[in-house]
Amino acid sequence: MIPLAVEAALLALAGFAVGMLIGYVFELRRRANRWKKRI
Amino acid sequence: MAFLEIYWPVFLVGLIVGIVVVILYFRPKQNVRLTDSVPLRPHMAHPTSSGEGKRITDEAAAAASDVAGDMLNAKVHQELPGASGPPDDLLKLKGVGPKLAGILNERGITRFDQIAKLSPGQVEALDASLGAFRGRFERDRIQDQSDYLARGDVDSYEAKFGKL
Repeated sequence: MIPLAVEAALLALAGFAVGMLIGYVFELRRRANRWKKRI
Repeated sequence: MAFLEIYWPVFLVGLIVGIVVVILYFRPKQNVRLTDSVPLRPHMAHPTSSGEGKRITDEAAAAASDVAGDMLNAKVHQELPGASGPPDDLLKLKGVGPKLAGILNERGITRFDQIAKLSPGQVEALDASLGAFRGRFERDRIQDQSDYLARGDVDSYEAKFGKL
């Protein structure tokens, strides 16, 4: 059984990772848009 | 799943922090790079030390000193840099012919370093008094040429302005 505090920390970490992923996807979209505009 | 029902705010906070970190990491940065690696040439060394500026207060001050100098019979304008040493062949400068060289000699300019040391205000005043040759200084970059020749940097001169 994983202690509750560790579980909560893992949950926060998972949230952080997902947040970074979402941010990165949006950044890629922004770059793609800029690239399209340049052409 | 009862755990998630209680602790979902932890996940949310992590999510927000992650997004903020990515935004901060990828935010647009200033592309301009400032550099001080451009070599300072002699005529750029004291750009504000002498001469008359272009702003209205400078013009007013110049006009006032003109009139006052006339009334007091005093020399109010700064002299052009004096020649020290044997004269140079000003005809080497591209854009300077015998006639312009003669005019410059009349004004007391016989050496390259004199031209290189002229302040922007002095160049402007000199240029304005050249009559038919007005604009030559800027067009043929005579001051730049003089600067190279005054330093004896013939290679750089020829790279920039062509063979001497």
